[in-house]
Amino acid sequence: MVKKRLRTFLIAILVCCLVGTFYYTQKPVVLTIGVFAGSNWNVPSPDSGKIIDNAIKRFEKTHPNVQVKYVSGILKDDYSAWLSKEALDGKLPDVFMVLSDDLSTYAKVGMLESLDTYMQTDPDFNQSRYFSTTLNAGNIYDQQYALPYESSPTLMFVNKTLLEENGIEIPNVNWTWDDFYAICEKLTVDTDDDGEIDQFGEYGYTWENALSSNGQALFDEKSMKSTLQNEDVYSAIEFVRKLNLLNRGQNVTSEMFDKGKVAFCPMMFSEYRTYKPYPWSVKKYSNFEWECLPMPAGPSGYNASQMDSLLCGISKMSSKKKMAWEFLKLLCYDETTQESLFKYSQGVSVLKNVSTSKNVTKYIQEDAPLDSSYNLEFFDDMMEQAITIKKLDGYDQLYSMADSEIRRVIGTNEDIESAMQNLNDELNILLEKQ
Amino acid sequence: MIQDIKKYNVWIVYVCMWLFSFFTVWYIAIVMYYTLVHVTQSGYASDFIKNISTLSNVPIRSFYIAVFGFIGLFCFVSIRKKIRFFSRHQIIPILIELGLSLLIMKNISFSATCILFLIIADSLLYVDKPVDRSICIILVFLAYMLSNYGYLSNYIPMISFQEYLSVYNSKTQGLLLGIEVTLSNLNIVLFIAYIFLYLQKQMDETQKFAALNVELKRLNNQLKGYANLREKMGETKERNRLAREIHDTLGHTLTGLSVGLEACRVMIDKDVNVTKAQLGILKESAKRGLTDVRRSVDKLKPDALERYSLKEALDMMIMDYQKLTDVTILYLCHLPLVNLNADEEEIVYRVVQEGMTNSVRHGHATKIYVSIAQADNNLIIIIEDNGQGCKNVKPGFGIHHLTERIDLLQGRIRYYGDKGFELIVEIPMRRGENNG
Repeated sequence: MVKKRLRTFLIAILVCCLVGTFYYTQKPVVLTIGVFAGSNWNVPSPDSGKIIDNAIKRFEKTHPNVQVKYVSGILKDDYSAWLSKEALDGKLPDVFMVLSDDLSTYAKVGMLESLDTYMQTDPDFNQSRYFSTTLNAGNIYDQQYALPYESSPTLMFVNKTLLEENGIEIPNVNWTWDDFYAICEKLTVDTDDDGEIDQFGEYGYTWENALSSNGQALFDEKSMKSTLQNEDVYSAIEFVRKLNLLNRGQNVTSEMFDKGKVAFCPMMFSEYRTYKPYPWSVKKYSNFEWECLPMPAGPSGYNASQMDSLLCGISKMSSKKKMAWEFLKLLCYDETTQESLFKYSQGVSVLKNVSTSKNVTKYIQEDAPLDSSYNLEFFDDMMEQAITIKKLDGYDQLYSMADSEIRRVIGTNEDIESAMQNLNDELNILLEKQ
Repeated sequence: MIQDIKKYNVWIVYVCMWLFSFFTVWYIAIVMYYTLVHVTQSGYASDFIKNISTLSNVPIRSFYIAVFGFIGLFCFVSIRKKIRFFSRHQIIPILIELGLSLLIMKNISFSATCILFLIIADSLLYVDKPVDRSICIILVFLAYMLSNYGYLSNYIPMISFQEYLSVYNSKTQGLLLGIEVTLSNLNIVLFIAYIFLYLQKQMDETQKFAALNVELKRLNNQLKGYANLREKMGETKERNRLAREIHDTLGHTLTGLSVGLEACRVMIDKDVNVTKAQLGILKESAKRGLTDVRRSVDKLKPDALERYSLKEALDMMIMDYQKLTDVTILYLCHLPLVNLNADEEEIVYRVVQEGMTNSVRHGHATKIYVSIAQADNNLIIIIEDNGQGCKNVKPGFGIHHLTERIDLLQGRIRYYGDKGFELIVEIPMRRGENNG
């Protein structure tokens, strides 16, 4: 009796399992992704959604039983809050974009799946196709938590018209601090002789730019120690102070740059891409011609600029991680997607050799105004040299502390060495708490 | 058991522990739940995520898992007694309870460990075997030691209660945390009270057992006294009976004899012949007296069977008989003679008694062989003698009576008088029936 009942029970379970498996395999798999509308670089970008839509179309074609869904219309400003809310509700998308500011938080709290094993075991994946710098942007706490989707390096914008008017040649791509300073010195003059300087060398060149191009950073990511107690740091700060002194106390504003009164201004590549072509070119910088260059190299560094990347990762809670990895690869590793970045977005590809491909050249030339041309030959070198600042937990506090102190030091005659030593100690105390 | 618990208030404390544990779990879960709702609805989600150290899987679901898990635990404890399998393996339900409570605690980020007190209380009440109970308590205790957010957050992703509270201002934080601490403390106090009462109950029980033991010893002694008294009373009764018998038979006969002999002494000088005749009568009377005495003695003897086992009774009877008469009795018994029914014992005793008496009385034998053996399922008694025997045995009253009794037991009696006298009795044994 008992045996018979047990047998019936077991058969019932078996049938349930079979039916369940059948249902499960036949049901279309829904892969959710988290993206935001618009550009990551805070520039107008009406078409950026097309890249994702095209990628989804292609993914659904190669994976017949899969539907890829996303919530559309989330603005970049709301994206972090939205994603956090989804995480708290347990509805984290399988694949989602990660702003570089959020990477450390998401990795720390366990929202992101570590990609190391996927990268090592997937035979189709060759990580040397990435610029080491872009790939490194998704690496935190010694693990690859996200892949870069698009990047935007900081470039030096040159007011070509202003330089030409003053008989100065545009520097070559390997220019140095000395070249930079010499041009600035020449251009910082009082043109209308009213006793006030009204033409300037640079606007917005900060101590961070100087540190990066002199091979320095606020702190070392491996040892988690502040690295400000260093001759190269001192010389970088000294250089910024020198540049500032040229202005003799005059405050340079972005408005002056827009009016064509400033020769150099560091800007993101995305901005260059946005405002160079028509119609946006009408809105800004319309009265002068301009060009972009890598940042000037310091005595101990390269023409290195800072770079910001938009990352993309897989949810740790996802139940379809393998498929999520496939989709992630389609976004971040697929050449077609990466090429289309140049067409629809303002960032640049994170993969090597994409920016010089035929398609990309075509896209860029389509955009370019008739009278100018893009010079992207230095591009790959610049990307390899770019510096990504890892925004670790507590970075904001660290940064604001360093920033205010260094700005103060630059504005005074104080001894840089001793000030940096003090700051170094203070930062170390903060870092130890991390 | 329930009576005892009720009596000692342990039960009330136990119920209170359940109530307050539930309240604590509910409180923590609901604070967490509403904090999450508050955080997600008012757009603080990304700040909240930045401030926490790890994110649990589906934080919003924790509330339901914790509360329904607790209700599940309660239901399990309630129905546990009805499942027979668990009463044999009492350690298993405790382990299930431990697992459930760990699940509940995980979902409230190990902020309330009071559930483990419940499990300890439960295993004290429920598990009977001391070894199992110790194992359970050690396991739960280990779980209690390790159920600490600090250790476990490194392995299990979860958001601590303090991290939830960090979204509120310090005043609210203080209040919410205060309530949590109060509830935890209350649970600890209840647990201490429970343990205190439980120990008291155990101690009382031990004392009660000791008292019962003393009482038992006293009663045992009393019983021994009664047994002695009863034996003495039996002896007295026996003596009285003996006295009565002697009085009734021997006394009567001796009185008659003494009177008759006195008359003979007076008469012998006058008339010798009459006196002779009178003496003949007296002799007959003395013989009758002797017979009466024998009968009395015979009547007395079976008492031996009442007082002693069959084997002892037989031994005694044979020894006595040898002493009384000059007959040599060779007695052999091939089986232990235990587990016989009362009627069987009686018949064995009677057969031996009657056989020996007959041998002496009628056969004037000097040697009697008594053997008791077993063949198949029959008890066989053989009594042989070297006496005169007789060609045609006329069964007397004794044999007749025996035959009737043996027939009742569906036994068989045979006797041969060719060469001495031989009496063979077979009685089917019902030993098997008796042993069940």
